[in-house]
Amino acid sequence: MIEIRGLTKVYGRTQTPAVNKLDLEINDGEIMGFAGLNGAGKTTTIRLISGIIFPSGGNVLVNGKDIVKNKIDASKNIGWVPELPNFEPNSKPVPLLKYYAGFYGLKGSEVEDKIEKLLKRFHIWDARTKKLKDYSQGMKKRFSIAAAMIGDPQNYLFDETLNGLDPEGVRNMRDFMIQLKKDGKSVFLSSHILSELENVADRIAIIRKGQLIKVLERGELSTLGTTVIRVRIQNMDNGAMNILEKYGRVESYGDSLIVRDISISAEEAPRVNRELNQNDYNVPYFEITGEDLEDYFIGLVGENR
Amino acid sequence: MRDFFYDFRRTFTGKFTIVMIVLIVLSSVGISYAGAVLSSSGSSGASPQATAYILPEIYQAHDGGYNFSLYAVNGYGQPVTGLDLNTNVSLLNYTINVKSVQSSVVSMANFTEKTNGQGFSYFSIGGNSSVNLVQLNYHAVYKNGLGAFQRTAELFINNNTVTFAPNTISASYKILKNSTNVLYTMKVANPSSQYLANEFVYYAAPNGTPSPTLNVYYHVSNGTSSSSLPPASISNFTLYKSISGSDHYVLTLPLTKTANLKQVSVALTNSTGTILGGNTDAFYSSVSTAAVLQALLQVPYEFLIPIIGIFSAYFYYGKDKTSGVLESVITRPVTKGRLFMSRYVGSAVTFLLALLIAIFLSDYVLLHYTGSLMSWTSFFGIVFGYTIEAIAFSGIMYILAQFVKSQGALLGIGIGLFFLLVFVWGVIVDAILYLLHTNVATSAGYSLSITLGAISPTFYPSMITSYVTGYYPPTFGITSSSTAPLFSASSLGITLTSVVAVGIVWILIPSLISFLLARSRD
Ligand SMILES: Nc1ncnc2c1ncn2[C@@H]1O[C@H](COP(=O)(O)OP(=O)(O)O)[C@@H](O)[C@H]1O
Ligand SMILES: [Mg+2]
Repeated sequence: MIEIRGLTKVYGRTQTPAVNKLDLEINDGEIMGFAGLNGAGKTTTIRLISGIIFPSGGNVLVNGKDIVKNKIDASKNIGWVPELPNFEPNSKPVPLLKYYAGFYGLKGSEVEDKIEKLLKRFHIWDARTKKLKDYSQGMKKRFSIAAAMIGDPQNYLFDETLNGLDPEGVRNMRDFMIQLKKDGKSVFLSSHILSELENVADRIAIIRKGQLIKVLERGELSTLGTTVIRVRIQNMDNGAMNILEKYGRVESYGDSLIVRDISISAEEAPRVNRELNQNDYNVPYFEITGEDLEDYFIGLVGENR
Repeated sequence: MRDFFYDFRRTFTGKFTIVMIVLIVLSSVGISYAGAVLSSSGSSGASPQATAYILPEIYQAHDGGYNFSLYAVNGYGQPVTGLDLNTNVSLLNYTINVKSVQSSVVSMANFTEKTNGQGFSYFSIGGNSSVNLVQLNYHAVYKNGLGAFQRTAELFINNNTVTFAPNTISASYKILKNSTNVLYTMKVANPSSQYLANEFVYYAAPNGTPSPTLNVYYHVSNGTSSSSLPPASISNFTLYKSISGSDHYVLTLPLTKTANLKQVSVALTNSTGTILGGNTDAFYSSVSTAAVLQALLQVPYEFLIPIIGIFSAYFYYGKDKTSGVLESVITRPVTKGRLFMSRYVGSAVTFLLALLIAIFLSDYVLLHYTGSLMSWTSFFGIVFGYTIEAIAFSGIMYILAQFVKSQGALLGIGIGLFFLLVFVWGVIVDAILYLLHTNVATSAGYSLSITLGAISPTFYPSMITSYVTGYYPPTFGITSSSTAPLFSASSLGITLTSVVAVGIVWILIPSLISFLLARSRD
């Protein structure tokens, strides 16, 4: 379990905070998605949680242990899978994993067995005599997952791990994460593509410019993507608003409006257009559309918002 | 602290540690060995093998003629055979009074002779009663690279200046020599030992007549004077042994290292205790191993130690820190500060261990050539001096590694640091002294130049050895013939306190700074 309280990171005095007063909890047996555009602060958050960089404010508790004040105990329960694997290029996987294992007090044949199991599980056992610099990008990524698992931590941080995988890779990785979840681990998985997280995350925290703007629950995820009406009204006034509000919740962006949670079926929706016309409203644009998750996401975090 | 010890152990048993120890040990021992071999074969001046001493004697036959015998020995006191000798003999009539010195040639002759199988060359010339001075000139003779000393021997046949031979020698000759006795004694090289010289004794008598029994005495005393004259008294001398049966002897006095750099007097007496010959010299001139080692390693270490310091900090820490590879370790149960410390201590202990082994083995290599091991203070002075220099260089690199963001930049700055502190620093010091109009010939000016020089860690080894030897520039027991002034270490502020303080500063300050940075920076 990871508890994030008021977490803030300011890189340079003149820069706006990369992470700004973030509050989040990732529970045991839960996969928490972490969505945001590039530069939103996902990697920064993950590096703060893993103890690589120091927070400017707030704190992170890993299984109750503060990652700054009680680094040793907290780190025992962090498995970090970086966005770009970066290991000593001349190392070979077995000695390197052995070195990492030593920090957890693991040694002897126990470690060797564990390393063998992990390398086999991630299909790099046959390449164990090669140096890491000779690994493909995919192999490096799999090695970095094995490296995160060597200490058998309770919590995992995956930074854009699904990004760039082929469909089969994505499926394998999802199965793997779901297995972690079944084993009672907490998983924190970042992505700049919300829909990537859709099928795997129990909840998705959405971050924009370092700030947490929404945490989508599983239930909400399934209601996203329902029918909405997008409409533009030239001579917009309260009357038009009253008409639209009869059918659902209205969000207005200037003369562009979106009606969500509409109370009528998609087939009946043209009724709304007719009613507006009958009341002399000039409607140059009217669309009944099923909004997908990514539209929703962009709508939420997009630059022009 | 478990994490610290774990990572320290791994650092210390890592590949780079082994490479570094092997590099330092092999280069040091190799330099010591090569240096010792070269210096023992190419010592200053001609080798003893290529030296010839000509020991002349003239004895007068009863018929009035003069017989000449020239005995040639090499620098070991061994006879030189087949040596060409060109000599010129003049028989003179010589008068001296208050107003003038007058001499007229009675007869003159030139001889070209070769030394025989025993090293002798003989020739003779008829005499005349008016002859009272015999002058023998023998010239530099070269044969197979041998260079003989050119000498002129003048033998006065005058009751005031010439001693006739003791009666014990052949009745048919009177022996004439230009000294008070018939024994040549001198120090010669010892072919089996570089540091211990032999005593050569030649009993000048016709046709290789063996000497009577001679008692050899010796005495070691403080001082460094040498004299070809026999000592006046043997009252506190030690009897070495009695010799007889030959006309020449090479003696190895039973001297130990305690005679090093002291004067040894040798006296030869007859059986009744009359001193017949002898001389005083430094027979035991073992150079100190520390001096040899210091001379051999100084220049190579001037480069090696800073390079080792800089590169070890780079390979143990800086490379991984700047490339981000260290991050995959930092996420483990370890703190950044202790991860830094384990690398820092790992490299420092490696320097110490490598230098302990290197200097220890070099000491034993040089033992073969100098005959002595270093004192413990010299040993640890040298080891700690270079260890701390390496630590200081690594420490500066550890600090830089906290700020520099790329491997290439860190390496570049490291190499720049090397050039600055190893090559350029002296120039900067000179420039500062020049701008301050400092006269380095004064103690105060010299002290300032040393203080400025000491800002670079390259100074520390000589600071510690100055303290050990008591002088700056440090000299390990050899009187320096160089023109550099010798200052007492304490007059320049080099005391136990300052040596320890500077050492601690170099060990602690860079490490503390980089520890605090490593601990608190991203
Ligand atoms: N080391 C750094 N120094 C300065 N600014 C940084 C650093 N790392 C990230 N940033 C800035 O912080 C913000 C968040 O970056 P990041 O956490 O990498 O976002 P994400 O992973 O969501 O793409 C960006 O504006 C980025 O430029
Ligand atoms: Mg990122």
